[in-house]
Amino acid sequence: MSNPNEEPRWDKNSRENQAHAAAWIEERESGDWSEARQAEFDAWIAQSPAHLVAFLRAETVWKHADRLRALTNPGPMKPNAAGPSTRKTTFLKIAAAFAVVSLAGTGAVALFQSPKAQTYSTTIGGHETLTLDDGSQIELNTNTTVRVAYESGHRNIWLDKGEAYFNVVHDPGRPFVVTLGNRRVTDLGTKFFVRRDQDRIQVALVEGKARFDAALEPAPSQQTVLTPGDIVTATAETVSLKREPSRNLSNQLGWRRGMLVFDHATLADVANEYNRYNRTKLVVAGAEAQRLTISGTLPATDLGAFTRLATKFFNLRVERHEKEIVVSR
Amino acid sequence: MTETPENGCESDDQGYGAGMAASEVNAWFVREVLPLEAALRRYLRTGWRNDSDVGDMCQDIFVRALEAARKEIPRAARPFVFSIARNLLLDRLHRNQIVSIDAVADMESFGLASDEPLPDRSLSARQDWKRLQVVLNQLPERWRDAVVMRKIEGLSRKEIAQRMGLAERTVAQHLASGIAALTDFFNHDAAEPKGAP
Repeated sequence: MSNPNEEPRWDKNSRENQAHAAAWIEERESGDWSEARQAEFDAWIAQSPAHLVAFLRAETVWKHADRLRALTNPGPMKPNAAGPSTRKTTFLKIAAAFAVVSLAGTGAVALFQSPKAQTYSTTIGGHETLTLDDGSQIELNTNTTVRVAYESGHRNIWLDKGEAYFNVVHDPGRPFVVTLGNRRVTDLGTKFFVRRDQDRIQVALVEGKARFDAALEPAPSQQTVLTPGDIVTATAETVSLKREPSRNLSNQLGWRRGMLVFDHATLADVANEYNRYNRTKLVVAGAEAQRLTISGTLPATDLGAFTRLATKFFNLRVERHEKEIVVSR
Repeated sequence: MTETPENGCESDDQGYGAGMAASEVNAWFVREVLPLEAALRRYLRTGWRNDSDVGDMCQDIFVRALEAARKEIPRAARPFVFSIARNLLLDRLHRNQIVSIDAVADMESFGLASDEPLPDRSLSARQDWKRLQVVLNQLPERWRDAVVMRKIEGLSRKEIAQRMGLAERTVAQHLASGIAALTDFFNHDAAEPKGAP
């Protein structure tokens, strides 16, 4: 065919084409159809293969709906009416493969109650789930340190660095409080995650409710009750709250499956993420290469997946050194 | 189960497109390509994060498939259609530099490159009927009423207008909207009555 870079000549708007196709189908069988309209219809079809596609597509479904009539009285329903079809199988297989990846790095640790705070850490690339004695769970991402102090009236957690996902068994008589430097999250019946980089923290609420205190000192101020989808980002000077669709939240939690999920991320961002999980550091050299963008899911500790992508789809050069991998144009 | 021909709708014999074997190509397209849409959408969604583009991309792929088939009808539709989809993603990758690697790299793992029949092709008549009911019940009430009167009772636009006490033009709009919505419900994976009792 012609040059693939040329903009296609047909009408690109599939919604519009579909609406027109549906209107034509309706009119053809409305009981009010003329030769003149037939000619106009033929012209519309001939105008663009996209019109033909839209018409065939809608007409096929519409004809299929004839079965409503054919089967309007289908007799007694048999109890073995089948459940949903099996078309999700391929997805399940893929999900299962991910699950193996993440389970391999997960060890559940029961915590003994102790008056003093106990410290738990993961190394770079690590991933651990703590199950606390009240049933609450803390899932630690790479390079993360938390301290846990359970007392009769309080459950106090400090996230000193890294990222963690909290699944809290709510107990109003025994508040579950996560402290990040000068800021604090209090559980009100919740699943949430918290990430702490050098000078920035992020708190995102997945389920339930939590309270966020923006500043503990000099005086407690700026309390916000978070609801699902809320993400608080706080730096030393600023606090911002935004709401994200749940898919974005689950993307950010890809690490729980051992995966990094990117949505229009630049290669520079991708490298930064990878570097949280791996001792061998990725360097994307050159502004041009850094600006390339991808969406997709990559295994967090498989640098090979990234370099294959870089060579295969972006034609980038990959140099391996002892402690780093440099990717450039 | 019988298929009742639609009044004034005998498309199988008409060639809508240009070219010599248009009706044959169209029949191939309806029989082999259209049933792939749900799988195709699923594939595109993993490759393209912007859902609103998926419909246009699907159309684009269908158009390319149809045009190619006018020269020669491919022997195996599924690998053919999915290789078009993959090339489209690669095109976008090169032009816009934004595309998902999942889809481009992992097409094989989706099992879409093979030509085994898709499981959903073999719905029993009763499953099919149930699914139609479910889909129909998702339509807004007026659209559904108009569709039922047209489809099941075989009423003309004028008769439906009298029955519903609406202008004919409004009935035409309800019907067209109903047809378009049914088309979506049937072809979009997302609209499946999944997990529904």
